[in-house]
Amino acid sequence: MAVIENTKPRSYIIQGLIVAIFLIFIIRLFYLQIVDSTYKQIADDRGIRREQVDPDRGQIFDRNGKLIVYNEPSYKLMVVPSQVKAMDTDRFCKVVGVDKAYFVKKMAEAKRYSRMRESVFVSQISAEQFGRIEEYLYEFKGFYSSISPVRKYVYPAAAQLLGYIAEVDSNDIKKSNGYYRNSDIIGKTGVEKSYEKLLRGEKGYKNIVIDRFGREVGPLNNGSEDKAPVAGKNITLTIDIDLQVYAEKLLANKKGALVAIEPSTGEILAIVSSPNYDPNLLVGSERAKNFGNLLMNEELPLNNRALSGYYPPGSTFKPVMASIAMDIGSLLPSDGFACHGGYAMGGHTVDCHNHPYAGNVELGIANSCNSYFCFTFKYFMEHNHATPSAGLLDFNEHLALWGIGTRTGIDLPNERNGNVPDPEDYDKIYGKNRWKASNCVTLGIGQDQLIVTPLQSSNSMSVIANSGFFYTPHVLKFADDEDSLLQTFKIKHETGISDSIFAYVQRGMAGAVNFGTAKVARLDSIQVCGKTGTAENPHGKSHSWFSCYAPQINPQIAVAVIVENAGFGATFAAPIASLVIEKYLNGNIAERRKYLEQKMFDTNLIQSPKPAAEPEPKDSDKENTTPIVQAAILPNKQ
Amino acid sequence: MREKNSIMQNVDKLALGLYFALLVFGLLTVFAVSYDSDTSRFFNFSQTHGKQMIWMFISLIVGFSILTFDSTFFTKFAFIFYGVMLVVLIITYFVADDINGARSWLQVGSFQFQPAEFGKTATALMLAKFLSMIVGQPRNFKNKMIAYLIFGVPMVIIIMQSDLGSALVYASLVIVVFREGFKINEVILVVAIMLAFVFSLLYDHIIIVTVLSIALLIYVSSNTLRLIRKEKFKGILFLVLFIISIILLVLALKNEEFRIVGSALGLLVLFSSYLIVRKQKNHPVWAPIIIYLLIGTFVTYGSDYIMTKVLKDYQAERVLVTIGVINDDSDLTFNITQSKMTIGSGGVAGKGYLQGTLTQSDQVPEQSTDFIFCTIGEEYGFIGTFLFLSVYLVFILRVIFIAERQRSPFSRVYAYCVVSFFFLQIMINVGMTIGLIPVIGIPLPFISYGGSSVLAFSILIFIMLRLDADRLLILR
Repeated sequence: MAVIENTKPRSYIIQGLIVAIFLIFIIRLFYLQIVDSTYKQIADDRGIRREQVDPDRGQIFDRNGKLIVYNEPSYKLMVVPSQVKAMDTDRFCKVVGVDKAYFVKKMAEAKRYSRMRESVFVSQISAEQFGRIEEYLYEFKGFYSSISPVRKYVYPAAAQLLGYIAEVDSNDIKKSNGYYRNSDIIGKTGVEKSYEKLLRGEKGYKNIVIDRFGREVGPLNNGSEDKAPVAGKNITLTIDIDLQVYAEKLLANKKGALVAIEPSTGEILAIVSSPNYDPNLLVGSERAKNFGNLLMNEELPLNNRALSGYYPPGSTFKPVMASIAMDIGSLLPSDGFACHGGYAMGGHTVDCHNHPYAGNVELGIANSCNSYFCFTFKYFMEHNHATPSAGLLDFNEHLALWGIGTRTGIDLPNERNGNVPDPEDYDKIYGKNRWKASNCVTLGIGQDQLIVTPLQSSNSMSVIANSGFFYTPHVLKFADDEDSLLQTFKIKHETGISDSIFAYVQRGMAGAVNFGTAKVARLDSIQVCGKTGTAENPHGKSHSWFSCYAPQINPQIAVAVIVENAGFGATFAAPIASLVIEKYLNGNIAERRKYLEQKMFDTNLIQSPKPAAEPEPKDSDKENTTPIVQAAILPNKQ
Repeated sequence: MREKNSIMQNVDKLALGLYFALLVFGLLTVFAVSYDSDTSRFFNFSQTHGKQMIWMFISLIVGFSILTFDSTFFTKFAFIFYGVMLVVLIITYFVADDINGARSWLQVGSFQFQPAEFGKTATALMLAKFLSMIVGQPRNFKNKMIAYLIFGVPMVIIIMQSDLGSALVYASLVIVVFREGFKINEVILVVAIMLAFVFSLLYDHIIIVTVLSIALLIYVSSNTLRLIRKEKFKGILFLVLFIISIILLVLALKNEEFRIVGSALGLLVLFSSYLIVRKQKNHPVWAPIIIYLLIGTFVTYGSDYIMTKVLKDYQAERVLVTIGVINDDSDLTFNITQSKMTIGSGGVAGKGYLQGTLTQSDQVPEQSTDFIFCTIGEEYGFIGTFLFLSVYLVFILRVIFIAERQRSPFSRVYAYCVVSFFFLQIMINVGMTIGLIPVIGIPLPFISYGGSSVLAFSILIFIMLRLDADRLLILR
């Protein structure tokens, strides 16, 4: 069987294969080196330099088609380290206007990136300064000019919403699978970050033939190997920029936030976080300095309090409490609870202000009776729930349907969850199952460990205005051909609570404005439904809240306003919210309310002496038992 | 002393001479790459060419001491070398630092080397040992599998180190088993499987499966010829059904909507073709078909599974970056443009030694290692590249000549391993710089800068020269 086949002839096949491959290579080399003249033109002492061509970033418009953000050219000085020859560094520094340390640092960075490719040496140079530099540039081999667009903002507003762009950091480069290069621009926060992929476009590049002195000779192969950049897409936001500017003006010199939503669509009309800054500060040669100042500012103007500010909702939570209690049947619309200036709970009393008897749910809401909602919460917890834990879990589940205690999913970065306490949270404080409804009864009035963001508060107003559902709040109205992005915003989130229940709540909130705690928000021509809130705050003066929507029939706008450390809801938040509604629906402010508008413009709550006890409470017990959280805003991760 | 002299007499002078010529030429080229008219001196041991010179001397010392060894040393220790190599390769995978995305460098003290380079010698010895052991035995499935595994196993480990170039060089050993008389169809199938395995990471699955299918069709068709000769109708019907089923399966892979229906239909037709030839005795097509189905499934779903589930994100990304799947396309094409331009700018006679302006302005990446051929092209022009490739070709043909004059299969197989390694490295390296082959990082033997590469190839050559000096003996 083992016949050994003579396999020697196969040696010739192998030799043939090898000779054939070498022949192919030689023919190819003959073509490249002798026949093809493409490379002959640039054969003598020349090289190619590749320049990246940045696409124009997409522009941003408001809901009425008004331009908000556009681009303007800015100049950059680039360097190709391998082409830099011995030169007068001092003179260079003087001409360009940098110091020696900067020169050494940037040169090292550029070399580390690539000796052959260009890196940015100085960016964002003004046209005037650049003219001067360019005059002397021929003396310094390896340095080139480059023009790239920078962002410009038509309105000095909406800074946190729009976000800012900046050079990519090493993390961005790593995450982008090779898309970003050193000195590329990326949206860091806000809309610029959310819609980076739409706005950025596609990078292009051109190959430039250079001579031995590094001077440009012309394009390689008439530019046939170049790639033109594709401009970024323009996007239209749901924001009404005029309303945004007006709302920012009202909140100027105050700490706080405002969110206005169109309830029928979930479109955000205005989203304000105060203090804010002029977005143009983060453009141009002063950028680094301004950014440093904003970053160090202890009022954290770079953060968007509307999405990430943590506040107890206080009394603005009462309409929500009433709705879910009526939904499970623990509260009847006709229920009345006596209030003797407070709700007695264990050792102490939840105080209430002086108001008429809350004979039904509408009056309870209108007069914002604390006792009423402490009872409401207690009965909710005890209604068909075997244990307090079961009751609290049910409470949690209901609130989740309202988007409370979880991110709403808005198309802006850095949104935070808020907080709805779990049974475990109370187990930790009181011991497992050693607590009951009365231990956490102030949840019913939006205190205790209940925390919402202004966005969530505004969204819960949408739910009431819509009688039971909301669309995920969003700021993108449309972008060319990218409708798919909007699909998630067309999903209706139902709470499952019936219209008739909301009718009581809506009437109660109208009552609050007409004869209750929020009379200051009453407008002559429009029925506003609202709820004031005064969120207790262990660190200082209470926060002033107002959550509302209008008109009562066919609502157009839902607004939540918080002004930090400003006292009663009716003092600042309610006037601001009502002015925003009036401006949006009527276009102007009625004569009799002009004084109110002026007062809001003029009030400065930031320069007033700062509330004393600012430091965090050290006593850990205290933190456990009074778990009301000061507007805590996580610093953005830069 | 006498014996040593006789060894020197029997060493192949032409091969040794060409080896020296290439080595010196390589050193001069590395010098040209690092040359800077202001600062460079030839004897400067801190620059790349200086270090390369040191490595050359080390290589020569090691090489000539190899000539003093007894030939049987290599046959006896082949197993041990191979085992040590596997262990070192695996250790490298776990302890190596990440250099340019690959974990293929081992650091011992201040000394860094690439085990895959030295592994080539060990693998060649092992394959020579095994193939010479089974001379006269039937070439059964088990023996063939062992032969393939001898270079398949290190290849897989090297792929895991993300060093695709070296892995492909190991794959070149199919040339050796082809020479040793393995069935040509099987060799083609193995090549197809290996290519599928490697390129499933690189290219669209559909391309690989198509290539694989064509290889299988060739194989099955050639086997069916016998059947057609005997029973014309049955044979042709079988072949037609078989081709239809393969086409259906490929189409099923291509179209998302057609996937389930297509696969089902394809398998059904395949099964009915089986029914036709079921009664035929020893019909040999079924094993490869099953292998084909398995590999096809693996290529299509398995490599995705490994990339997404088995490997961590950053690992998968590193593999993809290394083999060039994730990469800025513009960057790759730019490298090739630069490389072609540099070679093209040499013209007929080149710009002259040390006059390569594009070389000196760092226009080409990795110019002292992977893209060193550009410098040859620029400075010596077409005349230079032609002569250079000719010298290489003569060298390879000379090694084949040496291989064929051996009496012992061990030496012949070993010499063919040398041929395969050289051929593939030159093919990939030069092919890449002139834009005929995708960019895969691999050094040009003896020319590229790098101690591991020079030393490893020198060892490879000197062992062959030593075995050839004993060409009249039969080594086992």
